[in-house]
Amino acid sequence: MGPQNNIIGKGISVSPGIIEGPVKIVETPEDVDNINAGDIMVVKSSDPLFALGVMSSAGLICEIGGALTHICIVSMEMGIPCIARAENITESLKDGMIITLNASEGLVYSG
Amino acid sequence: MHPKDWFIVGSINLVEDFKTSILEISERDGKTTWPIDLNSISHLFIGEFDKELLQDIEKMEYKGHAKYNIGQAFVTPQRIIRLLIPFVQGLSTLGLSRELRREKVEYLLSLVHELKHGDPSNRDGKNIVLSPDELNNIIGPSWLSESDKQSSLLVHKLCGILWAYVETLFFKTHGLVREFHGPYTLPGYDGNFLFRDFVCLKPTELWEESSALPFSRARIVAAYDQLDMSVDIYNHVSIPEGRTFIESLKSYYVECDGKILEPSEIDSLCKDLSTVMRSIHKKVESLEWQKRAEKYADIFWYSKKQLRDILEEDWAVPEAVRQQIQHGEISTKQKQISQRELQIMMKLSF
Repeated sequence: MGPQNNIIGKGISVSPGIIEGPVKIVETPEDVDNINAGDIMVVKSSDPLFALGVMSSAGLICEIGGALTHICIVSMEMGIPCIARAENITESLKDGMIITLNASEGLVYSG
Repeated sequence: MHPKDWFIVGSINLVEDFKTSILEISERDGKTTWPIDLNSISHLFIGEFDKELLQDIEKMEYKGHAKYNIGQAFVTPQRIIRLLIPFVQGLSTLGLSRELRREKVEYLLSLVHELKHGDPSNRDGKNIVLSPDELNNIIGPSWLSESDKQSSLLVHKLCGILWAYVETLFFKTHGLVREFHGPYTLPGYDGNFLFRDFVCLKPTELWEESSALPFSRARIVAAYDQLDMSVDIYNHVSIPEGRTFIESLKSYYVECDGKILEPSEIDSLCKDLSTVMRSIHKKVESLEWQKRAEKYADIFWYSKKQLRDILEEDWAVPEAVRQQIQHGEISTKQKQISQRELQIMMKLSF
């Protein structure tokens, strides 16, 4: 990460990997249908249907929970980079914003 | 001495190991509340469920069924493990003494012990269900396909969708219908085997939509290269930080109802699972809380359907229980049991 990248969120690493992409905040099961390949999915809660979004996305940030939160387990199974317990992360993110998720370290950077 | 007899001689281990294992994972557990918090509605049916379950077991014993056969009626050891905490909560409503409650818990754990080759509570970080001989007979080396990146992604996509699928159908209690077991080693084969068994994909009595699926059971057998795995009492699989299943898969096979699936068939199954899942999810979301609670009751009663089938009795939730749910109230005081409360409950209850 260069000096231009600020850390905007932290969490615990669930499934490793580093990816860059646009944010897609998913609040309802319907939002899952609007995920594009390469999006980084951000959720506040867990719902089994969110798994279909995980399948299409490049990464997952979960505001709550931990390694045993079901959506996190699904991301681990599918090998999608994922962090959990990224408290209040949705306050710093907006749909379409480009971020870098370093899921190996549990860090979220702007840009 | 039978290799398992030490558990019987020192039977206190069964209960205490169970308590220790549950407490160890309760802090890390996901606290799933979709589609309704089980703790807030279980008081409406769990006492009656326990009463029936104990009666069913008693009838099985009276008819001369061996303990192993009674255990088999629960289909997987994990089903018994997953029933235990709600079961204990239900026992407190039946007015049994602590000693009697402990006896009942110990009995159910002894069924788990009958069904597994390894430690009933996975205290060693392994869930060893199969004996070495059974493992040898089950894994047909010719069935195993070498993995590449593409196939590994596909197989693990299936694993993820299956997980979400059973959660959609069985809510928080989806552990009733899956068993993740291993890691196993096979002589002459370099790799650790993990079995992911999904034993009830078409519970049409609960969800008619599931009849659209081509298979009832799925087993994913995966051999991982140099991957140190551990499996806790609730069958959560942990791997070392920084490692992934995808990169570590060496070989695999996917077996559904006895048929080994080709990659194109795995892909097709993923699509079928997604379709059925969406349709059931939509139905659940449209239900009032009482109907969601009734569905939970259906799931619990369904989990002992095989017992009822053997006894040639109807498995369904009694009408009185449905009435109790319809006229009952959500409990706010029982929502989200904390680690401390669970600890106290386990100490005092049994």
